[in-house]
Amino acid sequence: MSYLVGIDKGTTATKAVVFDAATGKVAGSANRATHALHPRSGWHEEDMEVTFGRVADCIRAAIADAGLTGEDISGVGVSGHMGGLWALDAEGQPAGNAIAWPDARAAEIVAGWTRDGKMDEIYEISGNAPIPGVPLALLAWLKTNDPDRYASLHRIAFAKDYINYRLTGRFVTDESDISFFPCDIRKRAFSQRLFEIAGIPEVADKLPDVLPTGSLVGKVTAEAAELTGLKPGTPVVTGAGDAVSAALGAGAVLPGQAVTVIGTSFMNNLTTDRPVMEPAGVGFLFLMPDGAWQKLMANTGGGSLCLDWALRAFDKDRLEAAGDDRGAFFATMEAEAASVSPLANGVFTHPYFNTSGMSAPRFIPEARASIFGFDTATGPAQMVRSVMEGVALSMVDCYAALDGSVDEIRLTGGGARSRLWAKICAAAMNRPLGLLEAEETGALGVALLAAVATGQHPDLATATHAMVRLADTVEPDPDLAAIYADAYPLFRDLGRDLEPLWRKRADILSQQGKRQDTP
Amino acid sequence: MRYLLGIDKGTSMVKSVVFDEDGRTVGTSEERVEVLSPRPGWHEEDPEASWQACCRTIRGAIADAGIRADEIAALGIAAHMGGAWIIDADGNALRNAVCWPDERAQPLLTELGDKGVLDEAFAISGNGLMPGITLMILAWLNRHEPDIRPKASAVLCAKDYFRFRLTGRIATDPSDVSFVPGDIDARTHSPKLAALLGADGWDDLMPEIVASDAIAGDITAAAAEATGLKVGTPVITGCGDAVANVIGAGGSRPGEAITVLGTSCLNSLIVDEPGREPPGLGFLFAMPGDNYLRILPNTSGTITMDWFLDHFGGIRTEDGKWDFRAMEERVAATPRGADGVLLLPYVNTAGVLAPFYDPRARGAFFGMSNQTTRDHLMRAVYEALAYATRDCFEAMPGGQDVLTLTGGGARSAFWAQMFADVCKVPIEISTAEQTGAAGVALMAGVAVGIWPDLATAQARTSSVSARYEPDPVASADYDRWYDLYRDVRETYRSYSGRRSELVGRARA
Repeated sequence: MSYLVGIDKGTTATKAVVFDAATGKVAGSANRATHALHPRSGWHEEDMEVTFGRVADCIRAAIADAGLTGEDISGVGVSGHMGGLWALDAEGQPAGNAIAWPDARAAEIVAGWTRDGKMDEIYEISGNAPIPGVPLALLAWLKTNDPDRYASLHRIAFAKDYINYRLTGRFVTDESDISFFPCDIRKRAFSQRLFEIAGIPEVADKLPDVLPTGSLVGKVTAEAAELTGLKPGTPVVTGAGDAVSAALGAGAVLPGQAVTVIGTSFMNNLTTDRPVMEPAGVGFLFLMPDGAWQKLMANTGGGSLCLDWALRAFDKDRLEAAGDDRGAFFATMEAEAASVSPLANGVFTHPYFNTSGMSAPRFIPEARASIFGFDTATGPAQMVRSVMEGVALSMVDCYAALDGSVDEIRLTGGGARSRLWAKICAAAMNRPLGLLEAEETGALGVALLAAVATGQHPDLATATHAMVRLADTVEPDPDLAAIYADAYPLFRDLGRDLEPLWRKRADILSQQGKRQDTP
Repeated sequence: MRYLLGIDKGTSMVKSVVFDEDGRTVGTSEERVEVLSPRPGWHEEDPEASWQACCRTIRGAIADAGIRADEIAALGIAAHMGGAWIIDADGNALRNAVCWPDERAQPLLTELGDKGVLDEAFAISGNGLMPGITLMILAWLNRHEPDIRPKASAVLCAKDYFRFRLTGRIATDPSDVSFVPGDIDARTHSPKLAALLGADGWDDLMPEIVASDAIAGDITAAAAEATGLKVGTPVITGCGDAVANVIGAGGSRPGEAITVLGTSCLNSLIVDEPGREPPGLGFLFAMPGDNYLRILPNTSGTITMDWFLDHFGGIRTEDGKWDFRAMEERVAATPRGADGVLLLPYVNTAGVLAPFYDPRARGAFFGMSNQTTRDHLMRAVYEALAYATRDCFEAMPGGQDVLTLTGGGARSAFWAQMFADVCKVPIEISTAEQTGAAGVALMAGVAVGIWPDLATAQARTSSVSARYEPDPVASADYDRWYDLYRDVRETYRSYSGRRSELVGRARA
């Protein structure tokens, strides 16, 4: 038997998972919290040495959890959060703390690009609307605000690359992670033009080698073996940025394969054979292995967060009575919602409950949720069903805006555990949805890369077929699908007509602002 | 000591109330009305059974007051409007009474709509038509029960039937004629309108019109036996309940507005001209004297709050009742505008009658985030009913000087202040209770000279218990949210047809 270790180095926690290379079954796993530093308000840093120590500890614990030793592990891959700045100095030591993607210090830099009209060109080159935590913005900030540190940067890369460096002694990166530098998304390479726009042309001298995603970086050194429990010489693959590895681990490997995550957030990822730039300024575009791309249409907070809100708002007494026994309560609630007729007698939810508004298929920060079409016969079960259906219709909305053909969609995340919700999504999309067995798609994605790089599977498609395990497939019910197909145009059109109302609402709130004195 | 008796014959309850010369309630008795529904959508009463129930409440109220029947100086009756109570020459009911909620004539009304005569009907009557108005029921009888008309001797409204049983006098008053309906400018029946609506042939059976506050007759021997009242006790003509409620709550002059914050929310404004704005909507009733009462109902009044609490829960007192005081404290702690959460309170399955007509309109919550709490949603419920009232009054011609709140919701000082701030008009809370019975009792008292005029009488019964002035700062905030409320309602309104058709297809 052969095993692989996939490591998901996240913003808040690291998870290491040991997979059976033949079947993808989980043999063991371990978690360690990520230690974030906030030296100033809005800053988000990590001490690289501390971070690596925790990752190493996590690898050792996962192998032990599987009842194995380093001898049993035939390959390692790391998935890391994207963006940020992980830099070495000329001696190969960390050039100060790592800066992680949530860091907001460069917000004014990005706002300036928008003001100066540079954003359109940046998007046109990169396919991504940069956030303050991408290297392009962080480097521009350092050059102006911390020139000494800027000068000390010898080589820059990303979170997973630093882990790979400590495992193998080699500091390089891969295509997926440079997507969110951002890079020239068509040429799949760094863009000198972007550095010029950002006023940092000299960054060209500090860039790492970019390997194809999934190639071998090197082998575990004796020192790293000591720290992790891995065997010296174990192959280490490039790994990937977390958005890409999660898509791989869900099986969205080939163009036309997609994965939808109903987590707290709501993400729709489609793998494509060309860079999908539309809709402009919305979502993210990442480089996938084997010359593919991935378009990510995410609605922050549009997923299970919506259902959680509906239960608090409309079923509070039972929710509180359930206490920790939420499973039984949820099963009851789901059965009640299942007995409600489709469309809940005409109740439409636009599910933009996150305070960041709508991020896909359009970018409207002022968007908020609404529920339309109730009367005195509408109770909690109708509201819950309507929220589930609203999320499903917003899934249709996201895929409809994607300029690429979709052959297959996998469904994952907490919301996918609801059989009713999965059934509603399948009917709304009018296609079968595969339900994944493994929840750790990020770790599995890089384990797949390691399996192929070490020759245990001939290619990614074969590896995916063997290792990404479907728990079930939900087929669309034809009657239900017909009802949702009929209903979608109203959802879409009403959503558009609500836009000016969202903006007006935001304006009034800001006018009322702090002048609010008495209730 | 002299006393006055007011009878309020409602759709679901009949109530008798004894008032003293100071307008105080000294005795009451009420009984549920037995509603008959021989077919879906039909709403009938057995006139004899309802009369017997009425008689029992008269006896009950006198007993409750602990007075002698001969101490009742005069009485009056107010009742639900529209409908048809048809008697033969012997005064016997020819069939069950058909009451205003009855929907049997809806297909005829749809036909009239298709023929395009509703605008002309509104121009004559000032009232939006419903299937339960008298003329529509007569049109239905013409088509489906043609044997009734030849045997009939008079078509009465509810209060007229009961007064007929009390006095033997066949008559009606201008307020009830308004909802037959008739010619609102002339305050009379309209043969032209009857013909337009298909109710031909009944013009001669319409009763003589007598002023609402005039003495129309006195108690007969038979009625005395049935009710315990003294033979010869004067009885005024009386009026429709909508008008009686306004008089009982103290309303009499143009510019005075009254909102009944009840299950459905009636917004009434006294006007001196029978203006038709907004065209095609709501009601216009003749009041005693020369004035009129313009009414735009919000069909989703406190049922909106009942719906929210019954389905989604709320804070309860120890004995299990809704703890409105505790809930209002929490609602008051959230900002005006509920942090951007708005409710369109159209939860009544009958849809919206005013300030626009759309039976397919439904409710909507707008502007929620995951930071929206149940307190925000409750605040949105409170605010929505105030917005809906402002929406109705803004559609009416003429300004309001003051708005009197009555009904269950008027007991909340918090809500009353919110109405003042939202509607930008002083809000008065009337102490008057049993306003329907009080309205006719006051007119009866004036008719027999206990009070010199109605204003004096009203001053006795309906002193203002509280007054709330609009707060300019709050009003400025609410102006902005109300403006958004209007936009939100227009947007959702434009989808009510599509939504309704979609639901129909999904069911099929």
